[in-house]
Amino acid sequence: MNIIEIKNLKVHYPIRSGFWNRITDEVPAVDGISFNIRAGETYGLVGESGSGKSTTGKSVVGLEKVTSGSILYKGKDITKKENRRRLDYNRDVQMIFQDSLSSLNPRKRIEDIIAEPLRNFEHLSKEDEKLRVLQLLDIVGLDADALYKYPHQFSGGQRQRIGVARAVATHPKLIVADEPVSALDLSVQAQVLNFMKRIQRDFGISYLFISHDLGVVRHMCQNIAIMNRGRLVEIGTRDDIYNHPLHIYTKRLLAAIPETNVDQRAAHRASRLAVEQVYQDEQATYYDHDGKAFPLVAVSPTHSVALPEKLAQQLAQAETKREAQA
Amino acid sequence: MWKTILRRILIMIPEVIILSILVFLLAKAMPGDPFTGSINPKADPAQIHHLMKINGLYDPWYQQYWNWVVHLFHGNLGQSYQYQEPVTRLIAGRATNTLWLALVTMVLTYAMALPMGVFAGRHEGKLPDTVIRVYTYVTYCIPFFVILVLGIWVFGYVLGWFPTTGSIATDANGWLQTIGSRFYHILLPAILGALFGTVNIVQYLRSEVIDAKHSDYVRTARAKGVPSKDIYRHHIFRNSLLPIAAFAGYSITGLLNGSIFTETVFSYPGMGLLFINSISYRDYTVITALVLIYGILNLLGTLLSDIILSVVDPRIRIE
Repeated sequence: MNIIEIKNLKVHYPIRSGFWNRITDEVPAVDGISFNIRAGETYGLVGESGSGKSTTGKSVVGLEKVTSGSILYKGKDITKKENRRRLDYNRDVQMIFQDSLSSLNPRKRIEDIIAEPLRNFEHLSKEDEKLRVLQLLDIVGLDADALYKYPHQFSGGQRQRIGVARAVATHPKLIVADEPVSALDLSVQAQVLNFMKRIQRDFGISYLFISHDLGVVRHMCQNIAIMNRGRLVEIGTRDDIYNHPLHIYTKRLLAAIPETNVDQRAAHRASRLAVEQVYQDEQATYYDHDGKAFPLVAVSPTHSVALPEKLAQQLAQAETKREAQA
Repeated sequence: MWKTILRRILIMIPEVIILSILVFLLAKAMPGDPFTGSINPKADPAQIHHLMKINGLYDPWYQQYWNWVVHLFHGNLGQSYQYQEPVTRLIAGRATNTLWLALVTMVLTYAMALPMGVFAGRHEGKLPDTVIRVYTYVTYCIPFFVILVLGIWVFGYVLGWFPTTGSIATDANGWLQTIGSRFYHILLPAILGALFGTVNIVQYLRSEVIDAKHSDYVRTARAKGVPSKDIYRHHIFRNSLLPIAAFAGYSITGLLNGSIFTETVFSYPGMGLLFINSISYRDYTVITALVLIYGILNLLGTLLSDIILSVVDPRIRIE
C-alpha cells in the first residue's frame, strides 16, 4: 500500500531581475518526477547537490510552493494548503533536517522544542505532556536533565537525536529525513541511523531518506530513486540499483564510492576512469538535447531507467547476460 | 543569571572611577577658578591667594581629586554660582521632570515601533512595508529640532491643543489636577519624540524579522505544523527582539541626552535645559555634576542592556 504518491511534481523557482523586479526566468529545481512510497518502507532519494532532492523532500512536507503536479496522501492532493490543514497533514508527516544546530531555535529549551508539535495537535495536560517528552527523550537515549537545556549545550549527534525525538512526537506515518547524518562523523552516523531504524521497527514509520551518501542509503533503504538535474534517472530496489545499474549517471555515482581495500585501489581507479570515459563519450545518448534525463522506462517490475525505450531494453539484456555468465 | 549580573556590576566599578577622574580633570582644565568673578573685582590678589590656599586648590591633583570624591560621597557636589543653591538639590528637582518625559517618550516609541517593525518584516516588499519604510526614512531625514519647532507651531500655537512651555500649569490644584497637568505638558514633546524616534527600532526589527523568517528553525517549526501566527509569536518575534533589547538600555540614556533639544525648545525645566543654561552662564559646578551624572547614566544604560540581553538570550549567560 502506498502512503505517498508523487505524480509529475514540478517546482520551478522564479528568477527576478530588472528595475521592476519582474520574473525573467525560472530555475527548474524539480522537473516532473513521479514515485510512490509504500507504508513502512525506507525510500532512498539520491543525487548530487543541486539535483533537487531536498526540494522534493520539502514539497512532500508542504514547505515548498509546488509549481505543478500532485502529491497524494490518503487520496487527497496535499500540495493544496487547505487539504493539508483538513488532514492535520503535518501531524502525520514530519521532517528531520541536516543541520541540527540551525534547525533548532537557539532560544528555546529542549522541552519546548519537543513539546511544540504536541501542543499543536494534541491538547495534553502539563503532566502528560512532560511524560510524553520524557518518553521521547528515552527512545533516543537522552537523559531527563536534557529537558531544561538549550540546543547549543549538546553534541551534534545528541542534537540530531533530539531532532528525531521531535519528529516522532506526534506518531507520524512518514518522516522525511533530509541528509540526517551527513553533518555527523561516522561513529555518530551509525548511532543516529540505528535509532532511526529502531523507531521504524517500533512505530511502523515510513522514511523518505534523502542522501548523497550511497553507503548510508544501502544500509537504510529498500527502494531507491536516483535524481539528476531535477529529474529521476533510475529507480529500483536496492539490488537493482547497486548490482545492476543501467544509467551512466548511476554508474558514475557508484564508481565514486571510495575503495578501502588498498590492493584494489588501482583496479578501482581504472574502472572509475572507464565509467568516466563512457560518460564523456556517450553523454548524448543518455541525455536528451537539453542535457535532461529522458522519461523513465520500465525494464523489470521494480526497475525503471530514464533512457530511450530501445537503449533501455538493450542495456537490460546485456545486464542479464552478464549476470548469467557470472 | 545572577552571576552574570554580579560580574557585570563589578566591571562597572573601574569604569566609574575612570569616568570620575576624566570629569574631574576636564573640570580642572576649564579656564578660571572658583573665585574668578564670585568676589568683588577690587579684591586683593593676596586675599584670593590665601582663599585658594585654605581651600586646597594648590594641592596636587590627586589630593584635590580625593577631596572631591569624599565630598561626592557625602552628597556634596558644590554650590551653583547661578542659582546660589546646592547642586544636588538643584539637579534632583530637575531630574524627575526629565525622567518622566523620557519614560513617556520611550513607552510611546516602543508601542509604535514594535508592531510597525514586525508588520513591515512580515509583509516584506509589499505595500505596507513600503509605506512604513518611507515613513522611517522621512523621519530620519528631518532634523529633530526642526520637528520640535514645527510641532510647537502647529499643535501648540495654531491649533492650540497643547501647552508650549513649562512642565505644569500655574493654577493646578490637588494631586489629580497636578498629575493631569504634568502629563498634559509632557504629551506633545513625547509624541513628537516617539514619532521621530522609531526609525532605528523599526529598521532593525524589520531586517531581523526578514532574517528569522528564512532561518532553518522557522523552517523546522513549519515542518512541525506550527500555524503561521504562532511561528511569528513564539519563534520570530522573540528572536528578532534581541538587537532591540540590546540597545534598549542605550536608548533610555539616549533619550535623557536627547532631552537637551526637547527641553530647550519646549522650555521644559529638566536636566537638559539646566545643562544648556549652565553652559551659557559658565556654571562650572553644575556642568561638572551633570557630565558626571550623564556619564554614569550611560554606564547604567549599558548595564541594563547587558542584563536584558542575558535574560532573552540563554547563550550569553555565564554558567
